[in-house]
Amino acid sequence: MRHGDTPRRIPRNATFASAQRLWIVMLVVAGVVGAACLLCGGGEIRATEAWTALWTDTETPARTIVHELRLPRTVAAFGVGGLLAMAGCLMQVLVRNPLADPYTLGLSGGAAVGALGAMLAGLGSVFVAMGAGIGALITCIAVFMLAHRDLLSRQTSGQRDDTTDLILIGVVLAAGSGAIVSMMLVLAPDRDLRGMLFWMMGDLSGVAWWGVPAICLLACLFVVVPLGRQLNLLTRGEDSASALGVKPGAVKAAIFALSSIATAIAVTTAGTIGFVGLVVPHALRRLVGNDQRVLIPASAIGGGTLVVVADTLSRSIVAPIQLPVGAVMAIIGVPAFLMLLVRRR
Amino acid sequence: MKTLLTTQELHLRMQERVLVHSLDLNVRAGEVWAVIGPNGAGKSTLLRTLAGLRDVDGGEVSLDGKPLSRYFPKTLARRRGFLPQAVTDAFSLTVWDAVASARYPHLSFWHWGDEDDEPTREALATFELDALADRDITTLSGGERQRVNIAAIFAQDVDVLLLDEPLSSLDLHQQMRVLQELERTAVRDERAVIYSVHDINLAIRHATHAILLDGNGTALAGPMLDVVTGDNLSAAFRHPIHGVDIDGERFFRAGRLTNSKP
Repeated sequence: MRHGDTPRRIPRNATFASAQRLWIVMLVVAGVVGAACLLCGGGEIRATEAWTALWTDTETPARTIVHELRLPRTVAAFGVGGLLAMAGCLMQVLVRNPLADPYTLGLSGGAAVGALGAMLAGLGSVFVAMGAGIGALITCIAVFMLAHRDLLSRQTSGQRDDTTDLILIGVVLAAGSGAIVSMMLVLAPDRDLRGMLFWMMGDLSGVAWWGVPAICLLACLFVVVPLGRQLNLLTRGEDSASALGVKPGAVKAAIFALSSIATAIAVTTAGTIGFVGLVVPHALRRLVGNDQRVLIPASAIGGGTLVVVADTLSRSIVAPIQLPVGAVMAIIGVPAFLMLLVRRR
Repeated sequence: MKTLLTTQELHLRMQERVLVHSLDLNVRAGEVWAVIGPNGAGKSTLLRTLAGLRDVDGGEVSLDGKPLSRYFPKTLARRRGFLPQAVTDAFSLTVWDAVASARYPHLSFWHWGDEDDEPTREALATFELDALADRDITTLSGGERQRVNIAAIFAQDVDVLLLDEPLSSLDLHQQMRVLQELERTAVRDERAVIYSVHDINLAIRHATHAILLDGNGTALAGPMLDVVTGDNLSAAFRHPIHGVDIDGERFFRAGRLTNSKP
């Protein structure tokens, strides 16, 4: 939108009170949605049964399903979604581009190479998860080393728009890992192929450490939210930010590290789930404005809720067959994102 | 008046090229300095160095006698403001928030900033931006954005204002308003203002002192009419520039490159 049109109204930065109200409302919605998702699902038990099973202590099959399958899975889905949306938010500030997401910087590609490599070697699920995490971290260290001038140098800051290098390095590494993944898929024996494809499209069934993503999300938020005001200044450019007393290099290195760790944990837990990091911050930015102090926690809650819904859909639509949650997410995400983009004009 | 910003034998280099060989500067409160020089002479580099955003390549820049490198970034940001040549906003934000963001150095870590709106309101009013307060800054014209960013420096409430080409893309009325506000704040609030500008005739009317860079290491600094002379300008710009007096006011004209008139 340019001059001549009616100026689009955007909200001013929220006061602390209204930010709190927003977070509380979103948390309540997340709680209700989460509870509803515990009750829905494959045809094994009815919602009313699930509800009583949720609060009972006696060992029934329904209780086992709700407490040992659905509850861990829902908590893990929330944690993963929250981590991805938060990482998306941070990456967008880091490269100052609203179209960046955790995967733009090549992390998912690296994770896929690690995880599929472990599967190809015939290793167990623990090693697959470790492979994914290590792959993501190696990629992000590679990006960091190649772009460290961008991230740490004070001399170059402001002289040129240095974020392009970061995106380019990420895109090139992603393309490289994509090629390796294709080769692995061709070389893989048929019996492994299905598992590999599932992993690449995101899979929350059989999550081992289901509490980890949620705990990490909480820890990351405690570090990131106090940095919010500095992130706000960084979105206006490094020279303006450092003139106002921010150390752009330090803040950028911190958010790069945090978003990489967040992505690595999410990928380790659930494989690659796209679009959360892109769609959620983008949609919420229209709703709550671009104050990172408000936006980042809101994205975390919103992303968590969205993945919980997507995961519930993926295990209930054609139950007992499970769809990959990443694919379900993309089917929700693509039209939603296109609608947001088109409505902007 | 109190001395604010000083340099001792300041040396500036860009790769192998020496931009400023040795510059001794003494900027006092109440003074308005114009930085003049040809393209690529190092005006922006000098301003960024004076703001402490770039390390010196030799010598020292001090504020209140203390080297800039020994300040905490946030402490320094309470004393000096800097307007970059171009601010590109990656995301939408309101004009109000853009100006209010300059209050950052004055807010404590846990302070959300809800109550601190008086400086922002004043700065917006000073630059006739009240009506635009709720507009998205990415939808404004270049000149309007420029005014928003200048207003932000005023909201930052600093003793030394460094502005890199503040007048570019402003219309004549707004140029005069900005220059008037810069001169006024220097005298009334006992601040120092340093800005780079291409229009020499504006500079001699709206600055008390000048720094003339030639891009080859020579930097002349001092009271306006001592530095800005036809000979000095001609040497720095490598182009014949003559001073003429019209109605008792000095103007500088650049000579035609050839004798052919259109």
